Amino acid sequence: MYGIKFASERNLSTLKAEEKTVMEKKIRILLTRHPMDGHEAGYNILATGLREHGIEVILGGAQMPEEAAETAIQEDVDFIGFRNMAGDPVYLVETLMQKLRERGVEIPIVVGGIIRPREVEKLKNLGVIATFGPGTSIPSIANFLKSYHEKRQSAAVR
Amino acid sequence: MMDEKELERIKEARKEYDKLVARELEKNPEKKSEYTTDSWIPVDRVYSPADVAHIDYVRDLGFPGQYPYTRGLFPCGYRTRAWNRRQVAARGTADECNKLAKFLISQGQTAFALHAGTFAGKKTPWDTDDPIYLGHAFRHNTKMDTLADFEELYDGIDLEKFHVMVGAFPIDLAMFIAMAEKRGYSRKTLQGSSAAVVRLILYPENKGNPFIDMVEFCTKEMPYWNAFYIDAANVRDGGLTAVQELAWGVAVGKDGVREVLKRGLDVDSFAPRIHSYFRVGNDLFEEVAKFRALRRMWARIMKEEFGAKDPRSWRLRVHVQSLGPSFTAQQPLNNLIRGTIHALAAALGGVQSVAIDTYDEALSTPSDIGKVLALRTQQIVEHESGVTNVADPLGGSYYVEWLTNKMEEEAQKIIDKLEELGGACKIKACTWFLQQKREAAYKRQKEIDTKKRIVVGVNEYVMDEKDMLSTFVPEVLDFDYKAMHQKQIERLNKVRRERDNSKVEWAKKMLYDVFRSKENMMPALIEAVKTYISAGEIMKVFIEARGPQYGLRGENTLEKEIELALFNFD
Repeated sequence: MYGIKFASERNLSTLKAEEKTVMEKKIRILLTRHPMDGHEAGYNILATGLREHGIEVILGGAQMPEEAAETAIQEDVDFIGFRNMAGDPVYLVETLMQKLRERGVEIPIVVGGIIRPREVEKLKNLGVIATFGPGTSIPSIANFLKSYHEKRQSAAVR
Repeated sequence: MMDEKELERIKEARKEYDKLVARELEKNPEKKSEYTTDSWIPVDRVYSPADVAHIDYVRDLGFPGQYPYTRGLFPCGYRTRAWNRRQVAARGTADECNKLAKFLISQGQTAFALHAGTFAGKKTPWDTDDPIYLGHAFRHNTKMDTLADFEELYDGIDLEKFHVMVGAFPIDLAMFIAMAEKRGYSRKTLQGSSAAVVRLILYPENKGNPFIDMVEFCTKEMPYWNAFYIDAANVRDGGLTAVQELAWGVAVGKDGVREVLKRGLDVDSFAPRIHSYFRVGNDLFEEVAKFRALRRMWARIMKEEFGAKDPRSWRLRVHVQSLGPSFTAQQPLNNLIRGTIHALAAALGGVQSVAIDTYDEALSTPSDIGKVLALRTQQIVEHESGVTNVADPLGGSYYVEWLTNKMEEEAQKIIDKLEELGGACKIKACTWFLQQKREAAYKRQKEIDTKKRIVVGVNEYVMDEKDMLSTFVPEVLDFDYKAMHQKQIERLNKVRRERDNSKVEWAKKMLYDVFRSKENMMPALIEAVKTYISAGEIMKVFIEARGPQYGLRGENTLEKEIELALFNFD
């Protein structure tokens, strides 16, 4: 359950399971980080934790923004979780959004990790729906994703 | 060891004590249902001579400076050999970072862990104008490209006086040597360390392995250089327990020694220069026990398993740094207190070199005030607390001796498993260990989420976001890293314009042949970097010669995941 699983492998292994649960589709999130940011503790903790809360996690691994956008589109995710420690989250998320726009899609993005106080504001202005700094509990992240997803679904129905 | 009669008396007294405990618990239950160390080792209420009765003082502990070095590597402890104060630092381009280094020297720093190199994060080096660095380079490190950067970084710094730390990839060491020799130093007297962890993940062969090449080269050419590096610290930050960290350090060192021996070197020719890097966390006694167990385990392995005869081969020198995740973003000033515990544990554990993290680290790249306060933490512990007066002051504590044994025992089980899987430098063992790491990290997080584990200011004693314990905090350095990135690209372009490019072409051809032949790459690298060829250019030749699998681009593979997670992140 803590296995290292990459996007490409995922397709095959979960295809059947997905067919069964197509009626009650799980929330899907891509967790991704930049190749220059090797730290992976929070990223993997969150992956395991979100799965325990019934959210389907696609691990993108270390990806350049265009690679992350590609995976997000192929995997048809509901959210992208961008994990940052050493990089500039504002620049990197802006680039990721740009790559998504170029492909004509819009996917809600959450950012976690080390984010300077001023950057939190900048990320919100960019349209990032939430930022989670060190010390955030996993249930609070899972609950946020669920309620955001629910609101979005009901807005879409209306 | 204790005589039977005395032991019986103590056991009798213990029975009486247990009755007292039972009566106390009827009135006042204990606050928690179970008590463990940070590594989840269950601990008793109290320890007595009965728990350490089997210890043979001379065999298992000895005096400081005596085998198996449980009580310290050197006979007089810190009285004759103060630990190196080696704070991590970096800022801007090499010339800016040089100013920062000089400032820290003026404040009492005695060794460098400059976060500067061709790697910019201990990874495959590319040139600064490569898109992979956008949003990263210079944000928390100093990215360098050519010999010119090394010349500026160390300008005016006495290389025989300060212990420097050079990046993980051999290119950095080659540039350092070329710079030092240009300034008139001999490689025979240069002292410092390379972060060369022996591993066979991305480079699964011994022959031509860049990290083993470094160790072999330094063994023959640089008698005072610490090339063989055991890094348990970075993995600990990723979620290991102290016991797992201890096991990993010993196992990865042991397997690395075996790989270096395959080059036909005598164990006593390189083992004295093995050095190690561990973390120090908040559980003071467990950390002290860890360092004591580490020294004993390593000494016995080197002497008994590898047959080393030189006592210097038995002594493992240790550098420690604060455990990153123990610092919180909430109420960041509290981290100064945590840093003090770390410095104390390091001193009581008898380590050789210390870096304390800065209190604002969970929020941003360290500020200047953070850096200086971390240095001061070490200096106050050293000069004012009195812990440096006596060697191994906790030695003989029933608890600490029991815990030292216990940690050794628990770590040994993990080492046995890693050995069974083929050795900790190899992919099979690493894959298993990565799972262990992730499980431990998740277990700890869950304990915090459910308040089984209290973290002050995070899940207990919480204050509003703009609380009084944050008011002092960060100016948070609005350092213009993008301007520095631009500046470095211009510096690199200037070097490319001004160097003799026909020489660079010669260097590329020569390197290609050496990389193909898999002979030791160090001598060729040292010659090549003198032409001011850049690290990125060298790396391109390397990939051309050896294959496209090296580097961080493209498909994620298990090898890359492991390389990043266990060896390669900064």
